[in-house]
Amino acid sequence: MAGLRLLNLTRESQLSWLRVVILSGIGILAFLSRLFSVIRFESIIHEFDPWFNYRATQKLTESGFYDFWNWFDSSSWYPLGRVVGGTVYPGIMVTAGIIHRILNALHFPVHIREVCVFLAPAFSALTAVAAYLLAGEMKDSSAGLLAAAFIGIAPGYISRSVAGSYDNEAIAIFLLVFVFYLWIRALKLGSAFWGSLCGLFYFYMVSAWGGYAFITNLIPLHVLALMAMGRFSSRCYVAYSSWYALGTLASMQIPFVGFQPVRTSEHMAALGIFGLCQIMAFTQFLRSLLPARTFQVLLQAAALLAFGGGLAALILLTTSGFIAPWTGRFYSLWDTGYAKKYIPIIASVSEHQPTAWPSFMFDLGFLIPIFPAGIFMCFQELRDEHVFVILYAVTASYFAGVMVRLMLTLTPIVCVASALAVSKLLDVYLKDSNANEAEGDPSSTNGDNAATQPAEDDPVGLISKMLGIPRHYVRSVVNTRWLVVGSIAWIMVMFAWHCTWVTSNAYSSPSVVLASRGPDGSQHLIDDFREAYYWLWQNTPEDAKVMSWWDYGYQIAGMANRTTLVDNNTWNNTHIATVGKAMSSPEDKSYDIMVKHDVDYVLIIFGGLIGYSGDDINKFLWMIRIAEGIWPNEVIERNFFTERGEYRVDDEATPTMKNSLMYKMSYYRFQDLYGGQQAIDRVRGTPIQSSKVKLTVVEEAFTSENFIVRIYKVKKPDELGRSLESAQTFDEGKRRRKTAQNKSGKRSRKSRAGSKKQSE
Amino acid sequence: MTLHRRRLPLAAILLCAVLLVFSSTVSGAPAGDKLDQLNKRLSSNPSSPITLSQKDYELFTSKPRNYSLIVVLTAMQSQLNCHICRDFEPELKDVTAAWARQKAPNTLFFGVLDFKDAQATFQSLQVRTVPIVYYFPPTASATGKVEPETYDVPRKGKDAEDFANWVEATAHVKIGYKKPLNYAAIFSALLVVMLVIVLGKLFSDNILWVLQNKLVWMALGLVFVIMMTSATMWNSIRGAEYVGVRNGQPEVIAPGFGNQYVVETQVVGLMYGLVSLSFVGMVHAREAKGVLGQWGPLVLLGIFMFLLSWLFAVFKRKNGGYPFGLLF
Repeated sequence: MAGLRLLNLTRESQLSWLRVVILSGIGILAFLSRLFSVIRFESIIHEFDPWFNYRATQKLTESGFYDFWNWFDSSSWYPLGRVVGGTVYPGIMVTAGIIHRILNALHFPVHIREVCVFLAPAFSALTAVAAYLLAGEMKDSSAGLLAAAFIGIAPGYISRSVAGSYDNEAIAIFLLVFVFYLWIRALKLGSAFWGSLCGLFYFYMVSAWGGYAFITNLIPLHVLALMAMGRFSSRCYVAYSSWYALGTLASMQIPFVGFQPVRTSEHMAALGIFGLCQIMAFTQFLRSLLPARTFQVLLQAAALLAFGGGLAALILLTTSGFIAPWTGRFYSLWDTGYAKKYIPIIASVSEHQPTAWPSFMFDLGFLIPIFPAGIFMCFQELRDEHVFVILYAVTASYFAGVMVRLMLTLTPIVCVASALAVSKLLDVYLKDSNANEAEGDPSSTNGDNAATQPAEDDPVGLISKMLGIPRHYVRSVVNTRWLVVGSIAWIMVMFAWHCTWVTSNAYSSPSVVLASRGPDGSQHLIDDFREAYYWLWQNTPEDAKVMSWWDYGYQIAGMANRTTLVDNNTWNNTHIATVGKAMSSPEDKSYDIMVKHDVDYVLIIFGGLIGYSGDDINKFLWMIRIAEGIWPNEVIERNFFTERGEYRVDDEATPTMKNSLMYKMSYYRFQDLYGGQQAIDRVRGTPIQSSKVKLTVVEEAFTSENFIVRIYKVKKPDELGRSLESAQTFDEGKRRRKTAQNKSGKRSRKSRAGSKKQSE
Repeated sequence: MTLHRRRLPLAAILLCAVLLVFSSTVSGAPAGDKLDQLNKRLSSNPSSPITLSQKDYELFTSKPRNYSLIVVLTAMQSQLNCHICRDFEPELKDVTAAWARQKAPNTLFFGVLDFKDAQATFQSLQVRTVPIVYYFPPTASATGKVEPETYDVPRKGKDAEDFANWVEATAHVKIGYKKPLNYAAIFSALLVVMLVIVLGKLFSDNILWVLQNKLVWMALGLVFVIMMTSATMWNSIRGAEYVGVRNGQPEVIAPGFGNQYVVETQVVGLMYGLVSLSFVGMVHAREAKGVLGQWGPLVLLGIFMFLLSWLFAVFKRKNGGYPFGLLF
């Protein structure tokens, strides 16, 4: 303080400087705490979807904006292709592209990959600032600083914004919080400027993430609640109208959104409230002109007419098909059984599962138990902006309960509400109680004024009497003020540990590179995915078509640069079901499908050797289910279960299971690793079938070090017109010796991953 | 001796013949007889499924068959506690009734086999879950399929619509099931609406007071948020059990990070509420006067810290590797 005073600063500017320093500290911390994966592994794009975003960003930086905008990607969804420009939220790619261009213009020769990897941490620093502003509007800047600190390290947000997680959410959460801040600001000031700014950032949000629908519905809900509470004002009118008009027009410029804001049910609430705002404003205008009696009659008639007319029009337009009903993805949030029954592809994604309570504690730590306290305090004050917090909390907590993934939208409001609660507590207890005394309050809270009133029944007095220690000694230990503040500080330190631990253990794996620990604690990296994709890139023709389950489509396109049949943009369920059918059918049937789709290579993931549980045999049931949805008579899930309803891969497995292409490709030559002993699948924890797995329509092309990725080449049709099976039997009969020699030669080279005894 | 030796083959042949006749009566009555029997059974109550005994089941499912038979394996005894069996029963009746209205005799029959009547059959079929439906096609069918097909009710859906669709697809018949209009529900809905309007008119002042009362909204909002953040939705989506049982003892906390019981979430929700309550209490106790002001903060701090630590302890129990804890 003394140093600052030398700068001739007033107390006010000292405080604001302090705020700036703390806030930048929080921003830096938020950035740094997301770097675990870069330090442990390397600067690498994570998981699945980011690989597509990365590939699209590369396209953007290499061939320019207009090429990107009109990009038709013929190398995905073979043979359909995909109109990328029109089916993508371009916000994140354009953001990264602009940052890359600015850095290069400033002569920082940064590769686009580094920009993509570090985009999410950088934006989370901005999110902290946005949370500071939002919570500042609710209470004051000290609540703002707490909210910023909470959101900077809350695992619920880190889970989606670690370095390398180059996905839409990386920038969308910043935009979400900032749009809400601008909205509150516009509402408070009744300013068209802030409302327009809100509309502009809403446009940015729409361009970045499909979750913008949350804003599109929450702001109208807020306005509706204000109307119901009789708080509709010209400020509200100005803010909402400027946001809605500008934001909607701007959002329609995104090709993927297009005319949806006027044609789908998700957006109707915003439109309806916009109309209601006009009516309310008009009636208020009339009220000022007409006598009270006439006005009452007119108001009632107009309200009835407007409501009935609007509802009838909505129903008519929906049934006539002009307004699309709720899409399946949104509808499944209301009717939670819907997706499981009708859209298995949505139900199959693990992040679309409901949330169990430990996940809430895991992602938000101690913030979740005191979250209701924050909401309670909002109810106590209940200014317009507090109504917003309450509505946000109620809706977001429902969504987070239905889908693990939407924990992300809940996190900001939990941080803000809990920050309100904690800062209120700190306000009360950090206030010097001596000040109370000076004001002449005789019954000051913790009995400090022993001189004027020797209270015997307060905690300090009681303890000093019981132990026979003078009052002032006891008072220095049993000081309510410092006990409360100390406990809260301790809990917050714990929270920081909690967040660091969760981030480091759960959210920092790139999932492209796996890490395992040896018995001595040393780290061992498993890099099978990149090994296999590199092999594909180097050893296959450039126009080769690779068939794999949709999870790996983006990675194959991004890392191996090969054409895929299906990928993580799951827009065509039938095409995915085709792949599922090819995987789950017997070889001859699969072969027909693969030939029809020009498949050259088949890529599968197999974890049985090292116990990688996210492999294709575990995902197999979903492939079957999705295929069954389209061909219920050809793929039957029941046939993959034993009589007792078990899903088995050993000798007890059903013939359908054993004959399916996926099963065969997974376990082909797996036994060879065990040198005559029983082969054990370490994921399922069972031995596999004891007879040898035979493949006739595909041949093994590549298997990665730990057997995680296996690539098979689809054979060309037999030149003599025989079936591939009979051709193979014929060949084997003729050249048994030769193939046996070949195999043993290969085996000794491969077996280093298996048992060492065998090669000796 | 010689005589004896010569007669032996004759006796053996006789014995064989008798055995053959006998065994043929056991394993397969002529298909026509079975059809008559089935129709006789059906005639008493054509619109509901035939209740089968173990013997009936063996008789009617034996080959040859010139009819289709659908057998529902179920367990209606109350001590077996099979909710879905009881849910499925009326749906099955509706489908059977719809089939009876089609007036297509001798083609398809519905039967029910209860666990209490045919435990041996259940064991020999290795039935693990009930209700399960077996479809026995005619032995000389066009598709050439003779083996029974199954319909797993819990997995494929217990609604009459789903079941009827499956029957139509597998047996190649037209059931013509239509979901009946639920008149009771429509009338009760109308009644409720009218009641609401009448009551609303009568007690408009009181209702307005409730609607405009901040406390009511606050209670609703807080309870909703607490319920949601203690993962009530998981319970309803996954159909969680109310309380677990381990070694005969009731178990409140489910083992494992991704699992929970209903009672567990209720306890957790209550803890959230109490933690928040004590937190708010601390804020207000400091400004209170008298004994409350002196003792309140300390006591509430104690409660707050204790409950929060308890929550983290439970969390740690569910999440094995978690290293932290507050007080214990």
